[in-house]
Amino acid sequence: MDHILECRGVSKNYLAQIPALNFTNLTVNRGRIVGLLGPNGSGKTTLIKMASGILTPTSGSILINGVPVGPDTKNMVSYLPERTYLNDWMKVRDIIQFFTDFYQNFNPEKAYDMLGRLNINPDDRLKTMSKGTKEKVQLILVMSREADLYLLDEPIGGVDPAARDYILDTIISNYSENSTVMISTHLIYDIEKVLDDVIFINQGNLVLASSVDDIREKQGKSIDAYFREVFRC
Amino acid sequence: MLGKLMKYEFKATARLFIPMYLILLVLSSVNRVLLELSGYSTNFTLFPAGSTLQNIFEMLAGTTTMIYVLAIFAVLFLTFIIFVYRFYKNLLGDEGYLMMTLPVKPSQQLWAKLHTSLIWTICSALACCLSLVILLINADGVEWMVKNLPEMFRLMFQIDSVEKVHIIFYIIELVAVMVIGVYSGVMFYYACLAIGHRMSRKHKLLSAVGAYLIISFAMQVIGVILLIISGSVFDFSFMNLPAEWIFHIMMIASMLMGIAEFAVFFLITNNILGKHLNLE
Repeated sequence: MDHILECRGVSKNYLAQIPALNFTNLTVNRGRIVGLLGPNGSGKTTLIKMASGILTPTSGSILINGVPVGPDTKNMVSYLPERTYLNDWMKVRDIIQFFTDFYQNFNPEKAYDMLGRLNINPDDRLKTMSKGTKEKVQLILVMSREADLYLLDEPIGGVDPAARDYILDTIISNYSENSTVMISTHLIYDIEKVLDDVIFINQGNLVLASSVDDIREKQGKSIDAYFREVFRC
Repeated sequence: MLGKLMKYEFKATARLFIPMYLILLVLSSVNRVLLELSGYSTNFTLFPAGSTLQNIFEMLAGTTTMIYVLAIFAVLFLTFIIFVYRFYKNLLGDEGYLMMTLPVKPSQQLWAKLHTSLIWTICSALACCLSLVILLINADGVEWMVKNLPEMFRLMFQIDSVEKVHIIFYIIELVAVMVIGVYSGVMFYYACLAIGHRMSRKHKLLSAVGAYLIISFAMQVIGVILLIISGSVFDFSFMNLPAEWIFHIMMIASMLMGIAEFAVFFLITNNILGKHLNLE
């Protein structure tokens, strides 16, 4: 299977009238860094949550590596949510042990190495850390997994510009050739330089799915500029 | 995977249970000390007997005993609350982002929590018993126990009559009914929370309470219907059986009902967690 992620007739309606997501079909290839771009509330997080298995589509199916989302695909997917979801009372070391216990493809040495470079003490409890530091810890945990698909929801939102650069470098240098990284964000300018493909999504609908090179050639402008054009208010 | 889930479940819940047990044991110890100083078992009193200070002191001891009794009820009540709260917070709250993306089946998550709940229930019961022992034990009691208990145990397990066999089975059945009761009781609350989660986005807890009321009512109705059916279908000639057998039948019927309830609630919850999850 060449497609790491495939949506077939996927839609998500909450009990409201307007569907949160209406992605009839989408495929994402292996070994690409994909930007999931769109205004607030456009359905980026909804799509990512469905691919991670914590949200169920109202109709249609999502396949990871050809397998429908379920306990088997959870091993293949490494998900970084927007929020902090780790137990506050645990120490970083405990959480690393947790990930080691449950994920065969988790690499604790990598995690400790990255923590060291960011001067984060593994014996600190999460509740003593600032929000930015907690986010860095979460990112390190997610990127220390050798997964097929990384789903990062706003990974650089709450951090300072220098940390953003570090995070982007971490993302690039830590994923393997065959893996795909899907990053959802609205900080397009920062992230543009690392993207291979982009997906534009608006009000739950797939507006565009193309490679960055194609857009730059055909439109003659940066992704950031093109985004502003497409999503002009 | 189940073992690992249980390991983390214990780690997380021990932080709540152990302090609770310690408080209970300390309370019962303090209570014991106060009672002894009030001349409870000996004639020794801290202050002169009959004096105002001693009367106040004895009031204090009495109040402490009241608090201790309340504490026992609190421990049993809180034990249950903690199980239900854990399920909600760990699987359906923010932590669900971590737990439900683990490569484990929802049924494994449920079993891990159920088994852990049983173990803590037993621990809570033991903690309460231990606190009672601290409060009541005295030299005479210990002497009596040391003299008589080994003999009693030996006599109990010496099978020399049919009655003895019945009694041993009663004990086994009773334990089974209690264990099944814990599993099905806890599973009922999990199912209500899961249904609440599924039915509503903004009012999950309210919907869960609604589910609780509706299901409780439904269980009553089903109970009555079953009673009526069994009344008309079975002729009660089995009531002519000797009393020992009737008791066994009642116990086994109770176990089967418990297992059936558990199965229904488990299937509902498992289905919702697996196919209808909507974490916010």
